Amino acid sequence: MLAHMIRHSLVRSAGVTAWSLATLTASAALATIFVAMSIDVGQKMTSSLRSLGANAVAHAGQRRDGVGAPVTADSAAWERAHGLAEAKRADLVEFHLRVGTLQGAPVAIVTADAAGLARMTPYWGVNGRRAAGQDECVMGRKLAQVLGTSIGATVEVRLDGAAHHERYRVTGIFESGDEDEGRMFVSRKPRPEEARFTYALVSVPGGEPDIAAFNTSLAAAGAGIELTPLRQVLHGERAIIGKINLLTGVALLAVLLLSSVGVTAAVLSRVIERRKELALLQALGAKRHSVVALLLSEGAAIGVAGALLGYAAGTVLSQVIVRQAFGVSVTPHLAPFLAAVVVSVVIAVLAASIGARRALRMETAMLLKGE
Amino acid sequence: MLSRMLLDSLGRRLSRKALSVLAVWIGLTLVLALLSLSVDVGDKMNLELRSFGANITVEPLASAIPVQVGGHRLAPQTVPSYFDEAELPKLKAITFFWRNNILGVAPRLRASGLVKGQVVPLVGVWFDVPITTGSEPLVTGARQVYSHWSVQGAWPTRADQCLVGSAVARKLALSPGDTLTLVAGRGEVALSVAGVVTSGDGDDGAVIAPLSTVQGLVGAPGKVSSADVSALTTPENKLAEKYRQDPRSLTPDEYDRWYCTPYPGAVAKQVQDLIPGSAARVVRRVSETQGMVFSRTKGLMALLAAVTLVVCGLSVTGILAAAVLERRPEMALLQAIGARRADVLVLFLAEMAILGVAGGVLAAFTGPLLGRWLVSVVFGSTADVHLAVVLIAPFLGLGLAWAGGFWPVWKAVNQDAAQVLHGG
Repeated sequence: MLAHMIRHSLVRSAGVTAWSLATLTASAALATIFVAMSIDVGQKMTSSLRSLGANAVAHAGQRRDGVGAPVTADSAAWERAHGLAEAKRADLVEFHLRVGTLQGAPVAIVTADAAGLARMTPYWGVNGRRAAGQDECVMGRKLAQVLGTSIGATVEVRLDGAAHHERYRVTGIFESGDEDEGRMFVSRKPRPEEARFTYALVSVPGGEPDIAAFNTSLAAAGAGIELTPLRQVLHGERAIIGKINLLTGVALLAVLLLSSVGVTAAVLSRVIERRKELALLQALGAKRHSVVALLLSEGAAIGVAGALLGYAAGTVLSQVIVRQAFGVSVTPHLAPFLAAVVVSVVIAVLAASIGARRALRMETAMLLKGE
Repeated sequence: MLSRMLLDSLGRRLSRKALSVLAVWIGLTLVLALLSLSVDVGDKMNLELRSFGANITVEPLASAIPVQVGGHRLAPQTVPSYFDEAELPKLKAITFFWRNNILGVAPRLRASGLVKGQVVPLVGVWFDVPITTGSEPLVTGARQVYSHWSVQGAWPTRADQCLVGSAVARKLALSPGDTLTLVAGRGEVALSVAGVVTSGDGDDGAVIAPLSTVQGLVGAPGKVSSADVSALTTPENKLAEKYRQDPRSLTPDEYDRWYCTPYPGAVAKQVQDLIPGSAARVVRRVSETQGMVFSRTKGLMALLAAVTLVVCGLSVTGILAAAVLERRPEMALLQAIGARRADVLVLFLAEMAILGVAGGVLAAFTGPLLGRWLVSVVFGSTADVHLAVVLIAPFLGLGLAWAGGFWPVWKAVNQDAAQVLHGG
């Protein structure tokens, strides 16, 4: 019976119902978008920034305890680190730094797997091309300027106090703006007996907490390797995401405030339209709480409908927005759905309760007389 | 006749009219505040990219490159090269084209010293140094440029205070409030440890003191080894890439466009031209990250602002529609005593217009103020009141009032007047 009355009532004042439903749907859609954004934007931003390379540097654990010469971890330690990185879906690329002599000046020569180097340094601006073969190298612009080297030139590096030398053809000159710009990068592996300092660039999915968790795992495994987050980039990333969340929060608050007032106004106008019907119900013996229950149920019904429609619309819109900004889909979460239901139902029931209060204040006899 | 009826109508049930004006006022205040915020959001978000810190580094043109890892030298030190600290205020001078894009400067003087018998890297930096050249004063230094530094304790405020890197603090058992004796170059100095800094780079293993203190200690007055510059830039595009690949490949028009756009490379080039004997380089890890964040957030925030504004506008329209629905009997009575449908429509829409414009005028004062407050809360900076937002307010009030009022009035005037008057 109650369901029948609610359906009849909602259909009878279809205009106001449609208006209330539209406002609630819009509010629920925005709640869905904003909650999905606050969960997803951080993750998507972080993962898209991972395409720009590393967010941490790995080195022998002892180095952080001292201020002297850097210490190199042994190959077993790096193997353990590689295993843990794989388990955590992190990308770890080893770099072996040797000191050689080029045109009589000391030069840092870094050996790294060519593909790994490209993954960790996509931000380099390379003129020419990256080195691919064992006899090729890329050189930092600063070093190239000091040595007067250009693309296509062949350089001879003396190692181990000039006891050994290696020849490389310069295939590219890169700009990085950091200390890499004073180095040359090759892919030929150093001989086992050569002195070198090994470090690694690591791209850990997520932010600083994930890097800290990786560090804890490394310590627990006794790898003797530590990660140092690249705080400059991570800090900026966190600051920007914080601002986006704050902005969406402010916008959501404004929308909720106006939606509440808008839906309340719509519900009140529905009560005014139906004042005779409500008076007749009371005259026929309906108790006051029955009238309240009817109005609240109507509110809840519109609220649930608004939540479902809003969630659907909000999910589609979030997909469009996130796909446009990050080129990937929104990850489904329960939170946006709950937010849509809570926002829509709470606003609708709140508005209905205000309408019910007003309905109960009406004089039944006067209304039935048409005054 | 119409004006008399309109005045009479406005004079009656003043509380109802006040409520309608209040609804438009509050609603439009929020709409205008969000509009102000969305006008500023692009610039402010771009400004927020300063949290990434320095994106340009200036070094002296060197004849040799130190071989080092994380600030530790792996090969014997080459002859140090410097440039003059006095050149740096030029970055904010009126003659420098990009002076307004320079957000911060942190010069560094690198040396090494002895603390408790251990050799430690020594870095001299600016801490809150005012640059007074030009029309825009700027207080800058490590605190502004290295916002990623996490300082336990306090930042140095005096020449005899310093920061110690977290690794140094651990190794030498130093904490805020301790005093260390630093021996370097020409003498020694007692420094009070103001704070312990975690930077995530080579500075964790260094003692960081005010630049003038380090200059005096190592005998290099007025000299700096490098300077980190935080500049407001725009993401690189094909033109910037073309210049980077080969500057000579640009046509004169393209070169002018490149030169007058704050690409990181263009700003760096002009910084280099400004400081004699220097080489300015773009820190590409930072500038590429800034570019990606900027391009990702730009469209995102604009889209969110647009959706929010539409929903807020709809809500205000709904409030007004509800207010009109309540007055259907009044409209029916007018029709019953001979008023034409058009007259009723004009009368009510005119009334709605007056209420809407009144709400809009009030919101023109409060909306931009709320917007300014929101900008200060969200971005921690001041914002201008946009004249366009103020001027649009009454028209927005009028538009929303008519949008909300037309449909219910039209519906009411087309209903059977007798039925409405009978309460049906």
